[in-house]
Amino acid sequence: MPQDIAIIVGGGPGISASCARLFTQSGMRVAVAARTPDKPVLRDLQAAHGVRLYTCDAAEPAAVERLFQDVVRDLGAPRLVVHNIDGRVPGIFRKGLAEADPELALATLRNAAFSAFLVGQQAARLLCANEPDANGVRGTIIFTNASAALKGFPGSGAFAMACHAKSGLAQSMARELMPQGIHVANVPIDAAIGWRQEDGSRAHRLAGTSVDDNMADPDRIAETYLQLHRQHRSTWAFEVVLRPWVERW
Amino acid sequence: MSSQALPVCLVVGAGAGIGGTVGGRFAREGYHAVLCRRTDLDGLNRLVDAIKSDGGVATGFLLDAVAPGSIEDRVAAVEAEIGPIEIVVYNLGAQIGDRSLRDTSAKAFETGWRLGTFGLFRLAQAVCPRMEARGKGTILVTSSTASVRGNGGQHSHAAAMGGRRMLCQTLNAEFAPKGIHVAHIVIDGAVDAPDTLGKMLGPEKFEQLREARGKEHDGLMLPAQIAETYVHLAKQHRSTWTHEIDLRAFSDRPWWNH
Repeated sequence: MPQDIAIIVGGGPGISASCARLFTQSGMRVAVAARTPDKPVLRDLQAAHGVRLYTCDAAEPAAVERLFQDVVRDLGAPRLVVHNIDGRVPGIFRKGLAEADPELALATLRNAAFSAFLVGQQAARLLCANEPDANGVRGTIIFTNASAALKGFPGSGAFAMACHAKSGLAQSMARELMPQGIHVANVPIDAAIGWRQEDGSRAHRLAGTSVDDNMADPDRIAETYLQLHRQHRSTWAFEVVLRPWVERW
Repeated sequence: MSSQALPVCLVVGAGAGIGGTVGGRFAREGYHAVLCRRTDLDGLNRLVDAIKSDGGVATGFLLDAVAPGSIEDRVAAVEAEIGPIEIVVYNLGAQIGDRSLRDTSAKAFETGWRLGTFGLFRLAQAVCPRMEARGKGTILVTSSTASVRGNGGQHSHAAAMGGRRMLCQTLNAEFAPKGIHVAHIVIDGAVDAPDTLGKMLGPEKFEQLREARGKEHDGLMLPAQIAETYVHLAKQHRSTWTHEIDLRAFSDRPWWNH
């Protein structure tokens, strides 16, 4: 069986790294694109798992088009595309509406939602050209999303706009592409993500150390992404919210 | 109960569709599948025998989920005589077809609620204290389009399933932090299931539908494939649980476009 090729757009130490590890362990060849791929965690993925790294500002149409061309040239046509960009710029965090800088709000929208459109568009064009597999499927597109896709929090207007926009895009894409054999899924992570630190603990930059699994483990999130990719087309999930057992919602 | 008792997967509503298939799938994961359904002892025995011939362990019971005390007694007996219930699959349907308000009798509405909502409440009251004492458990609740969308003619079914959905949320609010994972599974489409859709349509129309949309077209949801997602949900790590998931065939229109 030929190896599936996966592209993960948006690369860091959390979900993308966990997905890259699990996907390669499952026999896929994996490309990870990031604005700055020269991060230790991504270099480790390259060294330990043969992940190919690409530089891409996913809010730039030409850059996204080039990314997909490069991956096709280097690895082949993808069957699994993960859009994994949070998109918030530092200055927009915890800003009330009155004080939020419009330029930063627009940057957040571009980084998170417009990039999802661009990645989704390139993915749709490529996946539609794939031969259907034995299951009649041409591929999978997964959008990582956030709590803000489900509810607007105070001081989070720009991010809520971006996340709701991603949800709407994902729904519309699912309606258009699923009958063509492309599985589209929206996965809001309703939690802080605690990724593995060098000392073995799991922690989040702001929320601190994970205690008793009170933060989502990205390695476990990746298992659900892989399950979505493997679901039979007679029974596809569209929206899967993931949260820790003790999370209030 | 012997000391080596297998953990139990209790299925309430085990026909030849999702219920029986999910039970069989969990038997392959090493659970003792306890299948319960209201009628058709022969059909029940066929499901149990199929699991056994597949190398699994299974027991079947007839269970009228509307009868007072029935669910509670069955849970107690399973825990005493078979093993600890680690997984519950609540799979009772309450679909009575499209009926106008005038044609929906109070009795039909009440029965729908008893099957759709109240039965799950009673089952949760029976199993949650036991699961809580053990610090773990999974309750997988099959649900439907009507749980998120009140379509025309669905007064009884939508009210019952909407109640089921909300009950899943309140159960999660109380029991997720105690280690019990409750998942509300929206089956947003027609299932290739002879005991439910098949009986509602009659054998001839059901076969026509299977020819037109099912079989190699994959437009009817396949219980064996649905079961894969049930198993995935039961295996999810507690740091990342799904409390609601929607499933449909690739070619089907989802509830939000109806």
